Amino acid sequence: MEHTEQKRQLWRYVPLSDYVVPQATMSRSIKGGIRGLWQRLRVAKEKSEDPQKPESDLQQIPNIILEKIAPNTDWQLPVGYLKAALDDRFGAEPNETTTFLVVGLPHGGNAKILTALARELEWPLITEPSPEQILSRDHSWLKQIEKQDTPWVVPALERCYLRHVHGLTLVRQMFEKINTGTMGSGIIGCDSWALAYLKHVVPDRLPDALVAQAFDDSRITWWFDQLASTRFQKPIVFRQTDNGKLVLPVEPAQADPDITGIETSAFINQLAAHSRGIPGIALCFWRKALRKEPDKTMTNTSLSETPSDMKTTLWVLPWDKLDHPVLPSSISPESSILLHNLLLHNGLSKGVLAKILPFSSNVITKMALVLKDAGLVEENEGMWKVSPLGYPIVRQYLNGEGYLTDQF
Amino acid sequence: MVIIKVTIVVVAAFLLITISQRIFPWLAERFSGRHRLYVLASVPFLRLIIIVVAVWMIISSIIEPTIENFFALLGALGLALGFAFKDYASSLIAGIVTLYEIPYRLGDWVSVEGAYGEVKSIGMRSFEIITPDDTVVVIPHLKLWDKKIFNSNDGSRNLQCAADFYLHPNHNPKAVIEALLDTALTSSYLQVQKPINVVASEKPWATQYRLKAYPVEPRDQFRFITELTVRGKEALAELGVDFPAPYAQPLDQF
Repeated sequence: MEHTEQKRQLWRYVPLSDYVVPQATMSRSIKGGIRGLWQRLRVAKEKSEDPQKPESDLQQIPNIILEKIAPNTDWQLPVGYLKAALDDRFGAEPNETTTFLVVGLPHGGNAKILTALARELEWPLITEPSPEQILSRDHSWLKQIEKQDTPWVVPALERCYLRHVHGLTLVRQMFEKINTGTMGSGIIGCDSWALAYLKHVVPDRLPDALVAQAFDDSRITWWFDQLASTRFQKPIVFRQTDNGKLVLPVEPAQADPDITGIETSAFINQLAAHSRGIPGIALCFWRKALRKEPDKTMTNTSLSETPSDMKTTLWVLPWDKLDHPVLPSSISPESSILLHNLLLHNGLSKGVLAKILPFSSNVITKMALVLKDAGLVEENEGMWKVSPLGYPIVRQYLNGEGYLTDQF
Repeated sequence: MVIIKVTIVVVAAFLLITISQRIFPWLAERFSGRHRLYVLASVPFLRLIIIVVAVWMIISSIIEPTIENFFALLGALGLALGFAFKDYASSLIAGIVTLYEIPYRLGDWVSVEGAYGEVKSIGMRSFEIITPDDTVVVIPHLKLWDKKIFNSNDGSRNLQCAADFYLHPNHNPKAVIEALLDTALTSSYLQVQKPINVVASEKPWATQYRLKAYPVEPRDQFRFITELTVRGKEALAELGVDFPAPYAQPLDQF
């Protein structure tokens, strides 16, 4: 059992070899199955005692309230933990020029965290080269890093290369200079998929790397609890709609007599395993699963206007009832290639896709729209990315098809 | 009564084999990657089981299944078949041999006497391949005895492809090899985990470079080779490498 303090340290930066992907435990699955069977048998006799909520009786939570219960991740929070992890390593070799990789998973907010770190430490933030600069092998981009006399930060290495014959030169030269010590000290943020590819591209030794440890069951539980209590400022009980079990366990000291003794559901365990412990993805599924009881007197803001000593109960859809994106039955090999390249670069514009893929712009647009309709990709300011809800299924699919995947 | 029973067994076995040969490939099309290969590979095993069970049921219904009767029956059958249907029997026996030697499976890419394609069905006497030009070639199993059968992926998804480049000998080989390696490494069809190799050899009229790499999906081999060829030529042209004119005479200076 993990120590409570460790459990509550949401962000822990560890070497890549220490990264642990959360798993849906076998014993939990078996126990869940037996318990589920028992529950079904018991329900027939004690139906009236079970606080089940048919989905039709529940409503989606308005965004304005959702922002209070499960707000978007504040990427400033992990900065302190990352700084401490880097201090340990920079401090270990004070006289040497040192460069570290900070690896992030898709929707893990790595580039945002590193940007926030650079601002806090007032280190120069090196913006990514444009696709044209990458393809023309523009050395001025590298020279601006060499000129720095303080440690620098490149927040997204995945934006510094392209899977094109001319798209690898810049990143190779960068690591060559890093290894010869001409670039000074710096921090490089790198997406996990880009790292998997660049290991085959860069002949030089890659710098030591850190990665934020995955959010396991206990971290996700504590995190969601904190998110809800910080901004909502009154106790909320999260219960599963089909069996009334608690989704987030309540501390014994705060437990209400009417919820004392209620078991905890396996929802968070399944969520952690499915989202592979990536906070951005776990939060999206969490927001999607939350429901509230309709109340004629309740307006969009009335949840926060109830007396602060009253507990609010919110309902969570069972994991199996959640509407997961699915791969289109007619997914083509070309679509697989598109998805793979989007992940290797953590998103690409349509113009760049047309340059690196062996398909015409029309074909790319058609494929991208089909995948968007299926909820697997999303477009934001001209950049196409694999969506947070679609990432787990896309990763599983590409892995099964034999494509290179990240190690996490 | 015996004739009816034997007929029923033969018809049932034939139907089961026919159905399995249609349903499993249809089912395999619904899968992709290694799952597709697993489903396809199960067809010959199922057929073997059906044949063994059917033969045993027929023999046991005709004669008392003792060792003496069994060998006598086999001897008589062998004599008759040897004279009347030599090649047919040879193909049938080779078909049974393929079930445990497995020189080709459904989904494999094989080449037999110049015919290259994907194995689409394996019957009792022959197997069918579909060439890249969408032509079905029926090949009797007896080729197994005395012809070379080239299997490009042998039940796996690792199928090596090669793109050839013929260059004027006056070039920088190191730059050419680097450009070709990057051409393969940046191909969207590439199976990145597998090695990429460039092999150079001198011909009377050009220097030949073979770029060898593996596509993720064996079915994409021709798209992969096309992409390597097109993008490789682009990269080489940007290096200023000359390509010998087609049908050129041997170069005087080399």
